[in-house]
Amino acid sequence: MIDLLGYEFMQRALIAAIATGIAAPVIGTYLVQRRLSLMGDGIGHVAVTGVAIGLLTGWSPTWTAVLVAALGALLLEVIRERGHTSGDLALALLFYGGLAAGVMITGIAGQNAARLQQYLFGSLTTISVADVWFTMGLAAAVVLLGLGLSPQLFAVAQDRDFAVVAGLRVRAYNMLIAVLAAVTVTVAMRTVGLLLVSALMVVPVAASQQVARSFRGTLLLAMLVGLLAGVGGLLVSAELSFHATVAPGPAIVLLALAMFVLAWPLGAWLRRRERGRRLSA
Amino acid sequence: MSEAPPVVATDSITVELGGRAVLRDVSVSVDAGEFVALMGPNGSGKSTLVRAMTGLLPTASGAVRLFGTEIDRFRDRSRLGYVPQRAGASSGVPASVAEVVASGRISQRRLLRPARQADRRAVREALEVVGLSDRAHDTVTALSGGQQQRVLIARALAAEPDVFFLDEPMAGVDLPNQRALADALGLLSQRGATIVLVVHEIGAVGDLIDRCIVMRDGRVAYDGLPLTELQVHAAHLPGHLPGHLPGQLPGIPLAVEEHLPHGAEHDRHAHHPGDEHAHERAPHDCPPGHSDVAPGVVGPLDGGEGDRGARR
Ligand SMILES: Nc1ncnc2c1ncn2[C@@H]1O[C@H](COP(=O)(O)OP(=O)(O)OP(=O)(O)O)[C@@H](O)[C@H]1O
Ligand SMILES: [Mg+2]
Repeated sequence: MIDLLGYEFMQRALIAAIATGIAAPVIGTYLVQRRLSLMGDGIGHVAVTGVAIGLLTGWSPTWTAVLVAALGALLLEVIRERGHTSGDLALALLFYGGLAAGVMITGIAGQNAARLQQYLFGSLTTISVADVWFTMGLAAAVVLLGLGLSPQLFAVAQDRDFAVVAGLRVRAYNMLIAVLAAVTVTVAMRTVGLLLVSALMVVPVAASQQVARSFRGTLLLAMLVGLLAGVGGLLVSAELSFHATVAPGPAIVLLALAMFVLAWPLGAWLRRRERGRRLSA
Repeated sequence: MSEAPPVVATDSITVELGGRAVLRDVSVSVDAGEFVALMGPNGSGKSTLVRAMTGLLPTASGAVRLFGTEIDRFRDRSRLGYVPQRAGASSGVPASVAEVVASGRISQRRLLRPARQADRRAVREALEVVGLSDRAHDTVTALSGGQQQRVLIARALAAEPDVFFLDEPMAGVDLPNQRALADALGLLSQRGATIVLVVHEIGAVGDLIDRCIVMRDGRVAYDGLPLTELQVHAAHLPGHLPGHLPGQLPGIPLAVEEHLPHGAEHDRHAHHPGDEHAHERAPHDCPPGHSDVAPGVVGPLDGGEGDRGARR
C-alpha cells in the first residue's frame, strides 16, 4: 500500500478522492433534504453530453461538463418551480436526453467508447495535475458555500413558505444548490465517474442519518463517511488492479453502501435505547 | 386612534388561485397590539388572506401594507412571525427541534457568520415559552403532531417579531395544550405583540381576543367584537355579505339585516350535531351586553356547518 502511494498518479488520485469524498455528501445532504436524491444522477447524465462536447470540440471535457451540467441543473430547477412537469418526470427526461446525446456526440466525434468510459466510471491513471487543482478548487468552493450558507439553505428546504416570509431569496438559494450539485458532479467525475456520482452524494447521507439526530450532525457525519469511502475505495481498487481492472468508482460506492449497511442496525439500536430512556425518565 | 400606521392593512385586495378569485375585495386593517381572531368555514379564504398579508401570495388587485409600507418594498422581515397551517412536507434529513427553531432567526442572521449570543438566547427562550426545552436535541419527527405544532410556534417566536400570523395552530392539539398555547399567546399579547390567529373554535382563546373577523366565500362577512361560536356560524351563512365599511369601528357588526330573537336562533341550530357546546358556551364567550349584536340567521345552513360537524 505504501508502495502504491509512491506513484505520482496515485497521489493525484488520492487527493482527488479526498476532495470528492468530502464535498459530494455536503450537496448530497441538501438534495436528500429536498427529496431530490436522484437529482445528482440526472445531472450526471447531462454531464455526459458535456464531456462528449469536449471530446468533439477539443475543449477540456471537464469545463464543458461543468457548463452543460450547470445548465441542465438550472433547467431542471426552472421546470420544477414552474410545476408544469413533475420534478421526477423532468428528471427522467434529462436522464435519457443527456445520456443519449452524450453517446451520440461521442460517436460523431469519432472517439472510441473507452475514452467516454473514463468519465462514466472514473479512472485512476488519467487524472492530470491540472485536474487535481481543478478538483480541489471546486471541492473547496462547494464545502465552503455548503457549510457557510447552511442556515439559509436549511431554512429554504425545511419550509419554503416560512423562508419566503422571512425574506430569504428562495429562488436564488435553490439555483445555488442546483449549480453546486452540477459542480460536485463534475468534481466527482474523474474519481467515481458520472454514472455513480450520485451515489457518493447520497449514500453517505443515507448512512449518517441512521445515527444522527440533527441536520448538522447528518451533514458532518456524511462528510466523514464520504471521506472514508473515497480513500478506502481508491486504495481497494488500486490493490485489486494488480489482478484485474477495477475502476475506483464502483469500489468507492460499494464501500459507502457497506457503511450504510453497518449504520442501519446501529441506528435502530440507538433509537430503541433512546425510547427506553424516555419512557423510564 | 393612534398615529402609528396599522400593523397590517389590506386595501380591497383580490387574490386569484388557479384562475379563480379566492379573495374578493377584502379590506381589513389590524392595529398595533390587537389580538384578532380570523374565522370562517373551510375554504372561506382564511389561509389565503394570511398568505396574502405575509406576501406569500400576490394580489391581483388592491394593496397590502405592512407597518405602513407597501408589501413589495417591506424589508424588515424579522418583524413578521408566521406559523403555517400545516408543516411543509417533512424533510428527507432529520432536523433537531433546536435547529428548526433556530431557523426562525434566519432574517436576523448575517451571511456566512456564526450564530450570535442573541440568536442562541432567543431560541432558548422560544423553546421555554412552548415548553419544549427538554426536547431541544430530539429529532422533530420523533415528536407528536401537537408538539411539532409547538415547534413551529417557537420558530416564529425566535425572531421576536412584532406581529404573529398563526394559521390554525390549535388544530390537532389537545385541550391542555391548547390552554398552554393560549397562555403563551396571552403573554405575547401582553408584551405588546399584534396577533392574527386563525381558529375554528374560539374556546381556549375566548378571553384574549379583541376582535373577530369572519370570512365567508372569499369575503369578509363580519368584522367586529368577538362573537360566540353560535354567532360565528350565523355570520358565515348566506345573506350577510356586508360590503365592509372602511374605518368601521370594532364592535359594530357590519351587516345586521335582520334580528332574530335568541330563542329562535337556538331552535334553528338545536338539531345540529356539534352545536351543543357552542350553545352552552354562548353566554360565557359573549361579552356582556353584546350578545345580541350578532347578524341574524337568514337562509338554510350551508356547507360550512356540515364540515364543522364532520370535524368533531
Ligand atoms: N393552490 C390553489 N389553487 C386553487 N385554488 C386554491 C388553492 N389553494 C386554495 N384554493 C381555494 O381557495 C379557497 C380558500 O382556501 P383557503 O385555504 O384560504 O381556505 P381556509 O379558509 O384557510 O380553509 P381551512 O379552514 O380548510 O383551512 C378554497 O376554496 C380553495 O379551494
Ligand atoms: Mg386554512
